[in-house]
Amino acid sequence: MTLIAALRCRDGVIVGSDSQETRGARGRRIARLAQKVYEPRPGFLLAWAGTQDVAQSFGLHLRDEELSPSADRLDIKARLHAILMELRVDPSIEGRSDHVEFLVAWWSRREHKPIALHLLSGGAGEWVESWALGGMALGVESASFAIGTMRYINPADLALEQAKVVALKVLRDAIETSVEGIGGRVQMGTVQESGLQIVKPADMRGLHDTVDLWEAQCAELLLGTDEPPSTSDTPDRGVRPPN
Amino acid sequence: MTRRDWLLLFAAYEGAPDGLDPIRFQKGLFLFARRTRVPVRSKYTFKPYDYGPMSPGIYSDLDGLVDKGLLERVPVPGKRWSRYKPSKVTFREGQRLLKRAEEEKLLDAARELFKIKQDVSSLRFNELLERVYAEHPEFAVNSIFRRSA
Repeated sequence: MTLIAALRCRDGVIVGSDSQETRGARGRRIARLAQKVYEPRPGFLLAWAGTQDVAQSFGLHLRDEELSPSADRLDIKARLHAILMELRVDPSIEGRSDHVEFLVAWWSRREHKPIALHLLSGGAGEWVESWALGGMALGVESASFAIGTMRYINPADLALEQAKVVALKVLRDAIETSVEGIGGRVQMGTVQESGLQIVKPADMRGLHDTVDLWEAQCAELLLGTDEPPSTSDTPDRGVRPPN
Repeated sequence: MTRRDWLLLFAAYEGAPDGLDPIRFQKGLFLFARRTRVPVRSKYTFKPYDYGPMSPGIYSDLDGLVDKGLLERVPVPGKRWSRYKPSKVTFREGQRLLKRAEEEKLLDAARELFKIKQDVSSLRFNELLERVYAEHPEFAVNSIFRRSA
């Protein structure tokens, strides 16, 4: 399973996930890396949780679908449901299709705003207003707790760059609780008016540094400031240029 | 001198015997790029980011220096980041790079880099960010951290 999250902010949507895919029975699980946030079709950002082959089939169907972000959101929702229903009657994956869910985001040219939809295999679909979480129950619980610790932050007030940092903090805090079945690095993509973007690894490192700084500043507020590196007692054998 | 040479020299300079965090490397090499007249190819390219200027190339070069045994990555207890700590090999390489800077008539730049290392090593995170934002406000435009009044 997986942890997936969507955060709708002032000017866009962030979609994120962990990067671990697990197989096998409890206690004998094998974990490997998987790409869980991607653009299956121009203008649509997708994150999946659940059985990989079912999720892949959904992505392939979406890729081949005549679907545009300019369409009415209700039509898009109906098409996405139809794809899911087609999968559920496919006898080769029928049994496994009960355990899959998706977050789909796009920029609605018709409504001039970001849209995100939480699609569940049972047929339900919920529009994302602020946060949406999917995947393993324990992972979702951990992420919900992480969000709860930041309830003083209103997602609707956040710019996209700020929302990326908040989403990263929630995902990495949830991953670090070491829930079995979720893990690895955080993957993230964004949807805004200017387009859709998968956050590159170097930018992810920059985002992690930003969250580190945020946490360091919180600690400084409570505990006082960490001493800067030059105050170390370790003998300094560094070099210096000639005068 | 390549930009990676300057990065290694920065790490080898005295001022932070336990090493520096990635944020101080980013800010130090940014100030070096802005204050000195070394050729453009010897400087990292920075973009305004969530916490001021950031260059993805610094991350990959730090990883490369660790892989080659020229720097040590040391986890910081209670924190999620690691420090990049110099070793004997780093200091030896630093001496070699200083000679090279002298041969290439870049000693003034090497001295400026030393001064920057002393500065970034003696400032706390908030002070460092404020310093960089004050000196180069155009790189603070995307910062998610509010500036002090």
